Amino acid sequence: MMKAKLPTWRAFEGPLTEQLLREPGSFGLGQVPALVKPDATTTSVCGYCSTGCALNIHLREGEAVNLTPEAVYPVNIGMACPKGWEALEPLGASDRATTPMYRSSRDAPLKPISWPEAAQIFCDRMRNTLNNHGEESAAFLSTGQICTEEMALLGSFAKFGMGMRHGDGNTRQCMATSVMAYKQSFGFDAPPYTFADFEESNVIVLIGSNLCIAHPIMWQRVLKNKRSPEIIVIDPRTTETAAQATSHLPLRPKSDLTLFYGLAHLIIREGWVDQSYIDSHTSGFEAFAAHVKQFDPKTVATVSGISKEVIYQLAKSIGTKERVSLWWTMGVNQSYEATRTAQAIINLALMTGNIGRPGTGANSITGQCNAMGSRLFSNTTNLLGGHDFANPTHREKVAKTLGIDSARLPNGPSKAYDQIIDGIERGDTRALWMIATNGVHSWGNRERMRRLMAKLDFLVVQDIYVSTDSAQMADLILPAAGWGEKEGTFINSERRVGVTKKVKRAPGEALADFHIFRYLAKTWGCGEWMDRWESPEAVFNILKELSREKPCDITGIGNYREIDDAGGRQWPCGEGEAHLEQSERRLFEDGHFYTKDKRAKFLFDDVQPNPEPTDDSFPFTLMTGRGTSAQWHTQTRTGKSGILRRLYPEDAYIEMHPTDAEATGLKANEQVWIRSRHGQATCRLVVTPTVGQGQLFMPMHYTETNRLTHPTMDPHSLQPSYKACAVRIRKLLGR
Amino acid sequence: MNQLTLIDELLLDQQALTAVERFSQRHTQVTSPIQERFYKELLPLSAPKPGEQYGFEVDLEACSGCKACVSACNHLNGLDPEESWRDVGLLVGDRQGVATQQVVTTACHHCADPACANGCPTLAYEKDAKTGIVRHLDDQCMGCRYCELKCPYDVPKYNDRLGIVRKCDMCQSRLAEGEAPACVQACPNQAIRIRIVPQEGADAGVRLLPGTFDSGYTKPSTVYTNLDTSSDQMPADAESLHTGHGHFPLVWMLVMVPISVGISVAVWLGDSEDLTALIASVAIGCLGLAGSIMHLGRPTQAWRAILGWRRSWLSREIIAFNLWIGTMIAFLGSVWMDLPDVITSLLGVSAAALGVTGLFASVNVYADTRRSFWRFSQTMSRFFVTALSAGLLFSPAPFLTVVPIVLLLGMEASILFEPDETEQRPHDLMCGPLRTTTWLRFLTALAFVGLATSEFTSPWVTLFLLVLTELAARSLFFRAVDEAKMPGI
Repeated sequence: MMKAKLPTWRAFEGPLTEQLLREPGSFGLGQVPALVKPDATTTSVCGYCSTGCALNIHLREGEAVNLTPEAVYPVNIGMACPKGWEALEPLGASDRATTPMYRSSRDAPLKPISWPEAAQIFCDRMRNTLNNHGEESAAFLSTGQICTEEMALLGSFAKFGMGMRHGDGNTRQCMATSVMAYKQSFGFDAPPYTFADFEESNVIVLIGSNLCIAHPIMWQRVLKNKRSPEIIVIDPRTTETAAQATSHLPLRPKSDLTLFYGLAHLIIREGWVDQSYIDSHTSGFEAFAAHVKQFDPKTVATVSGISKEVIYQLAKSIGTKERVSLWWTMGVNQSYEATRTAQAIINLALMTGNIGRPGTGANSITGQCNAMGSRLFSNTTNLLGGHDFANPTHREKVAKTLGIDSARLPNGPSKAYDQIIDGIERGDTRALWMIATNGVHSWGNRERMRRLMAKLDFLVVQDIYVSTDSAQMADLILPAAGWGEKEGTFINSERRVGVTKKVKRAPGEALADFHIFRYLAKTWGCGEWMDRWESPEAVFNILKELSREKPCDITGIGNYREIDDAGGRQWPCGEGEAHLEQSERRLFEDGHFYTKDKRAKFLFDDVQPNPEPTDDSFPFTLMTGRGTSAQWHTQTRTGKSGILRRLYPEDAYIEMHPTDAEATGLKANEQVWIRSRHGQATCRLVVTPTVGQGQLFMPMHYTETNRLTHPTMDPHSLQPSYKACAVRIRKLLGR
Repeated sequence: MNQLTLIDELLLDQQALTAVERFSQRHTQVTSPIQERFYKELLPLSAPKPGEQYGFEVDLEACSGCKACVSACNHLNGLDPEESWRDVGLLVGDRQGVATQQVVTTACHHCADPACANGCPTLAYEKDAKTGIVRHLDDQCMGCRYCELKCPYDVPKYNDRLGIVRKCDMCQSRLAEGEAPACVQACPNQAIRIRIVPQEGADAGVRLLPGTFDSGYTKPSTVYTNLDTSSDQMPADAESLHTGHGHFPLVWMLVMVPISVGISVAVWLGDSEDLTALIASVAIGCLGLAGSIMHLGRPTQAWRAILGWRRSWLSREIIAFNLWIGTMIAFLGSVWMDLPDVITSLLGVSAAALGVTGLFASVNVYADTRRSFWRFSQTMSRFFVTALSAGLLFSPAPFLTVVPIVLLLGMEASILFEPDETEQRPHDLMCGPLRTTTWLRFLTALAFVGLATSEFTSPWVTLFLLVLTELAARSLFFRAVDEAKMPGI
C-alpha cells in the first residue's frame, strides 16, 4: 500500500544487480549468467572419477568460461557431481607449476630453469643412474589421471626408449585387485557391465562401495531403475549409501570373504544354483562347493556379526531373483586378501548365472577417470594393449606394430608400487619419476615414505602444482598442464572411451604431459620409431592397432571426432563393428570368457587371519575411505575450489561410536591422539553412530591418515590394505 | 627461414585452442533448454494464486549427499568462487543401535514473514507479491549485515568483494520463463522441486527440521518431506562450537556510545559546567559512531538507512543516534558559549532523551533477532550497565559505579557456572574457544571494581578500565551467541 511512494528511493537496478543478470544461453542451455554467456560449446569427459561424465564446456573465443553437465550423453544424462561442476576451478590456482624447477642438492632451494635445461638434467641424471646401477635402478610412478595416449607414451618411452625396467601407477592403490581377479577368473581384465545394468537389476548388491558420494552419478542410474530393486549395502559403516539402501549389512571389518563363502554355501545347500550355466560356462565349481561347506551359517554369523536370518535372506535374494548385480569398490579392493574376496563375489554371480544378461554381473566399479586406460595401455604390469610381457608372441606383435626391435621389450612385468618403494630402502631403486600422483601423501606409512623419498639420488615430480607433498621433496619439478588444458582419451568404468579436450591455456610454460614425454624422448634420443608419436590422436591410432584381436579391440572405434559424436564408444569395438545404434553394451552375453577353454574359473582360498589384529594395546580397527563427494584423493585439486572447500571439514577428523566415546571418556570435537603400530597422528574427534563399536573411520584426504596405515599387500594384486589398521586413541594432552 | 625448435613448437601448441574448429558444434539451432526434460515434472504447472507462493520442496529420502546443487548454484548464477546460495548439512540419529542419517540441502526459505526484510534498515529486500520470492536488491544494500543476524537460517551471506549481502532469488528469472532454478536442474536424484504453497506459513512451535529455529518466527515456505522420525536425529554439527562473527566495529560502537550517553546524562543531571566531561562525552560518542560507519560495506549508501524506520530497529537506532550526536554537539556548543539556560537545558534534556532512546533501539536491534543470548532483559542490562557505570563515574558518588557492574558480573557468572538450557552454547563457547576473552573480561572487571573503590580518584583511568572490560564483554556478546542455522556438516 505504501510501496508506490518508495521506488524512487530504492535501487531496483544498478551495477551490482547487473553482476547477476541471467540471459538465454543458446546451445540448448537455458539461462546462463550474462557475464559468461558462451559463443560456442564443446563436450569433454571429466578428469576425476571413472564414471566418465561428459561436461559441456562453455567457450568464449575458444576458451572455457564456465561449464554445465552435458544433457545428451549416455553416461551422466544431464548431471554431474560437484567435482565435475568445479572442474575448471583448480586450474586457476596460484600454486600452479609454471616453469621447470631444479635443485642441485637436497638442501638447496628449488630454482626455475628452462625446459631445455630441465630435459638435459633429466636425461643426464636418469642415464647416469641406469648406466651405473642397471635397468632396475630407475622407475616411474604414474597415475590413473592422465590420458591413455600419455600413459602409452610414458610407458613406451621409459621402457623401450630409456631402458627402464620398472614403472607402476597409483592405480595399484585402487584397482589392482579387480585387474587380478578378472584376469584370473575371466582370462582378461574385463569389467563386464554397462551402467544401464544399474537400471535393469532386481537386486543391487553394493559391497564396500559408498556409491552415493564416491560415484554420485552412478547412484543417479540406480534411482532410474523402474523395477523397485532391492538395494543391499554390505559395509561396516552406515554410509550415505547404506542410509539409502533397502537393507544394510554392517559386517565386521574384514569378515567379507567369510560372508561371501557362507552365502555360496547357502545358495548351494538350498539348491539355488544355476547348474546349467555352471556346466556350460565355468570350471572348478565342484572344488569350490567342497571348499565352502565349512562356512556354515552359524560360523559366518559369529565371524561377520550379521545374524543367520539376514544372511539367509541375502543368499535367497542372490540365489532366486531374476537379475542380480553385485558391485564392489575399495572396501573390497584394499585388503590383504582382496583378490580372493573379489573372486568370491565373481563366484556368486557365476554360480547363479548372473552374468551376461541385463541387470546382472560381478562388477568392479573403478576409481580414477582413466584407471581403465592405465590397465590396458600404461605398459607397466601388462604390455601395451592388454598383452603379456612374458609372452614372446605378444612381444613380437607389439614390437612389430611399434617398429622396434623386440629385444628392447622386457620379458616380464614391472615391479609393483610397493616393491619399487621397498627397493629404495635396499638401494635398488635410486631414481624415481612421479607423474600426476602424490605418493608422499597417498602411500601408507607416510613417515617411512618421506624418509625413502629423501634417500633417493634423484626424484622427479611432474605435476600441475608445486605445492604437493611430493613436489616439495623433488629435485626436479616438471610443470604439467592439467585436465582441460590438453587432449586425449579416457576409458571409464564401463569400458567407454571418451574424449577430453583442450579448452584452457596452461599457465606459464606448463606443458601437457604428452608434450613433456615427447620432449624428453627427443632430448634422450630415442630414434626414429618415436617420430610417429607426434600427437595424441596419432598415438591413439597406434593404440588401436595394438588392440587388434584382443578382447579390448578398439580398431573400429573411429577418430576423436567420431568418438565425440557417438557419445563415447565402449570396447570391444572391432573394425566394422561401430555399434552406432547401441550406446550401451555388456560382455559375456554368449557365455564365452577369455580363458583358453572359454570358461570362467571358480577361484578361492582359505580365509587368512588379519595381519593387523586388534589387541589390548591397539583395541580399535581404523578404516579409511572417501570423506565426501567434494573431495578427491590427496586434494591437490579439490582443495583449490572454494565451493568444494565449503562442502567438507577443513581439518582432519576421526569418527567414533558414541558408546566407545563414553567408554574412553572422549568428547566430541576434542583433539585426539591416535597411535598405530606404524605411526601416530592427531586430529579432531567426531562422535557418530554411523561407525560401529570398536571401529574408527578417517577420510583418506588428510595427510594425518596415512601416518597410521601400513601397506600390507594382497599377495595376488599387491594392492595395499588400507581398511583395517589396529590403533589406540587418547585425548590429546595439553589442549 | 624461421626454424622453431621442438620446445618452441610444443609451447606454442600448448597455447592454441582448437576444440571449436576440430569438433562438431552441437545444439546450435536449439532454442529451448535441453535440460528441461529432466526438470519439467519438478515445476508447478501454474503460477501461485493470491495467498499462495512458490516454495522449495526437498525430499530427504531422495537426497543422497552428492552436493551438486551447491556447485550448480554457483556456476549457473555467476557467483564468486566461494559463493553459493545453497548449503548441505547432515542429520544423524540412533534407532536402537542402528545409525540413521539424512542429508539436508538448504537455501533461502522465502519466508512468509521474512526476518531479513523486516530488519533491513535500507529496504533492500523485496517480497514479490505474485511469487512470494524474497529478493535482495543488491544496489540498495549498504552492507550492514544485519540480515545475517536476523535470518535464523544463516541465509544472507556477506560478499567481501562487493561490500554487500547476496542471497538466493529462487532463480526468479528462470522460473518466469518456465525454467527450473539451478539447484533443481542439477540434482541427479530429483530431490528438490518447486511447489506452490499457502502463504500463511507455520505456527509457533513447529520446526523445519530437528535442531532448527522455531518456524513461527519467519514462517519459512520450504517443505521437507520424508524426514526419518524413527530416531531422534540431530544435526551432525550440533556439538561443534562455531564462534559468532566478532564484528569489532560494532563492539567498539556498543561500548563507546553507551559510555558517551552515560557521561552526558550525568553532566546534564549534575554540574553542567563540567566542560571537560562533556567534551570527552561528545568525542567518545563521535568515535563510537565512526566505528559503526566503518562496519558498513558501502558507507556511501548509509543515508538509505532511514528508509526502514517503520519496521527496522536498526533503522530506528541509526536515526536516533544521528539525531543524538547532533543534539550533543549543540548541547556542548551551548554550554561552551554559555547560551541562555533555557536553551542549554532544552538541548540537554533532548540529548539525554535521544541517547536513551538510541540505547533502547540498540537493545531491540539484538533482541529482535530472537537469539536467547541476546534476549531483551539481558541485552538491556548489558548496554545500560555500560552507560550507568560511565555516568556514575562522573556523578557526585563515583564509587557507586561498581554496583551495576557487579550485578552484571553476577548474571555473566551464572552463565559460566549454572547455565540454563538456552545458555548451554554460550557457556560452552565462553569456557571453550573464547576462554581467553572470558578471563580478560572478568580480570579487567575486577580491576575496575578495585580501582573504583580505592583511594585513587582520577575518573579517566577508571574509565579506561571500564572501556577495556566492556570491550571484552561486548566481544563475548557477539562471539558467544547461540547460533541459528540449518544443519551443517
